[in-house]
Amino acid sequence: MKKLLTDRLKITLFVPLLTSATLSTAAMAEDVSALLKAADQFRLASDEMQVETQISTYNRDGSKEKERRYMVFSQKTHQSLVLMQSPAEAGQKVLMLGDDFWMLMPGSQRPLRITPMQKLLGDASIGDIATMSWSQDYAGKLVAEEPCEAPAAVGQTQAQTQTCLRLSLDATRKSAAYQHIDLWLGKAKHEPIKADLYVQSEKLAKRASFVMDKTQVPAVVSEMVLLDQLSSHKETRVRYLSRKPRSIPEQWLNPMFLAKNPSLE
Amino acid sequence: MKMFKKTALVARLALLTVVLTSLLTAQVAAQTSNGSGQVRALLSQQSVNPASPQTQASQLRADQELESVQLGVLEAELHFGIKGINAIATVQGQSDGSGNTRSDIWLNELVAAWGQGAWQLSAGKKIVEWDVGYGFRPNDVVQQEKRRSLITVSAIGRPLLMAEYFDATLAASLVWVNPATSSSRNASGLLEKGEEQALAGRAYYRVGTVDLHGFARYGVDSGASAGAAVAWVASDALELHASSRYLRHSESLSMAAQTPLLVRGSAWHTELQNNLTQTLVGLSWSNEDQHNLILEAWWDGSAASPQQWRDWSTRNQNLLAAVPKLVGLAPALAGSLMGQNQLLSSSANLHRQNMFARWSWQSGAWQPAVDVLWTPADNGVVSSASLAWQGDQLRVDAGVRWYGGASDSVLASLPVRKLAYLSMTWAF
Repeated sequence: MKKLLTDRLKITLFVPLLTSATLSTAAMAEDVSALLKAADQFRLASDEMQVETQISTYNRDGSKEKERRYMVFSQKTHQSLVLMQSPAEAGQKVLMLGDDFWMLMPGSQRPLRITPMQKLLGDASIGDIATMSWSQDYAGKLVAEEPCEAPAAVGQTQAQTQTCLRLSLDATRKSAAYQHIDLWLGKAKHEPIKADLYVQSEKLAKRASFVMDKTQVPAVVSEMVLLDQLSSHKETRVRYLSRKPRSIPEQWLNPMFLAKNPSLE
Repeated sequence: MKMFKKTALVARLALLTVVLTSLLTAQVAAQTSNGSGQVRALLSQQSVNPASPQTQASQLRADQELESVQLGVLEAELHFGIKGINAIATVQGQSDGSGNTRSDIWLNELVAAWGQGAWQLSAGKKIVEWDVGYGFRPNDVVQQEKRRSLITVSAIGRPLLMAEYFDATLAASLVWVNPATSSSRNASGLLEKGEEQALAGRAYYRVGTVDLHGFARYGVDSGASAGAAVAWVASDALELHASSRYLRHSESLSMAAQTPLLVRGSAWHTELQNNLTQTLVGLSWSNEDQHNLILEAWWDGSAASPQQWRDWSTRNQNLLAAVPKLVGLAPALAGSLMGQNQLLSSSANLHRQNMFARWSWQSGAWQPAVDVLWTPADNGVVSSASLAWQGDQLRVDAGVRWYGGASDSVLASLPVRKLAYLSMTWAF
């Protein structure tokens, strides 16, 4: 008798679950690539952009540890040039050409080839500010629809709970800053809500959340908030100060050109 | 007393440089579209090496007590750029523990550039650095900077005319170095490094994960040399690099085997060596936890040979042994001992074989680092430990460097035994 009841209970639970899974599979048929392209639009309006960012790092007690400014030229086919602009780093430059990286230190006129691991150095890695295209760098699947809490938009004080699409993404390039990402997008607009970022060793490195410019009709991501999960447990806020389409000359993407001082006008 | 000396030293430095710095900073801020810079205060203290021939010679001459040497430096470095003209200028005040002060101002760089496309031209005084190594760069044939300095400082550029070509994967440079300068020689009669008119060229080509470089140089006095270098990112964590240069000729210092202990003038004479090579191989490794390791080994055929250093050491001992026997000639013997130091600065490296290792760890704003240079020919060692802290604008560096190893090694015979420093840099 007990066994019969158990079997009936299993059937009672299993059938709706099976139905739900079938429905979810249909939903998951939605093109993940299209979702990522839509999400990218909230951070990048064009394939070739000039983006000015400000990165502020906060200690566990909420005090500000440091603030840095970067000018990022994000170009087609995974090419980015990053110019450091804060006094502490003025003159430093990083060039990313696909899976290859170079750095120029201000005390030297010599571009150094660096490894992807060296690119990760810092609370907000160069990857966080220069690798902006999920659709180009990741592939994966839609895992579920679930409620999630979106950070308060600019000018708002309260976080909003909404229905999100949860995506599980794996990097298609070895040099991507994070090899695995769990990403939550808003169901209606596909704007990025939050992300768990994993490094190659499968450790959860950072938890990201995205602050939009407006709650109801979000157009752009105003700020990305990163919470370190590995060691420092610091909070890093990446603010996008300005964005504009900008195509740079091909010689700016030659590593040896880093020793020059390109005009930003 | 020492504390008083230090306070006086800092006060003098401040007086010497702050006014100049403020004036220059205001001038730059007002007139340039792109200005930045830094102000640095540096205190260092050297412990002399009592076993050094130079120390013993100075004692013979002046009968002085051995004292640590203090040095205070306050300097402002200004970078500015406007309409294709870039400049770096430095104002510096120095004071030693004895109350001697001096101030100086120089241009590291003042260069005008033309061209926004593939071809670019530059003229003026410019810093040009090449090659792929950290501890030694055989193909850094324009700048020829000092390596392994304790504090990163801007190099002083060379007068030059330079034409460059860039496309997406290729870069080529042709440089006429010191176009209006005739060669100069140092007190030992050797060509001052880089102080001759020369043509130098570099070609760079990128092939995926590999950087390829080719170099050539022709100096009016030093003649022709050619080199190649490669840097390869072998994995996410590992970068490998190598560099090699062939020199048709190189000048070095030589001393005849039977040279008497006392000679008029220098006992050294310049000698031309033919068909030399300089080669470096190395790697850098980094991990997710922000540890970084550099390992390098290099051969410098232009450096003194182990036999030359053995002869050098024997002559030092003979000179010191002669002092008690020839008391009246002590000053002359001391002069000969001092002259022995010319060999120490005759080449970029003391020894032909060198091994170098450096570990550093970036942990937030902090970066501890340790490095070791080992000369296997005589087991000499230079080791350094440092700690840096980087804030938004303030950077603090502190460290110690020791010279030692086997007691009969060249590194253990240098005039300095230990060097400690503290530096504070304010960037704006």
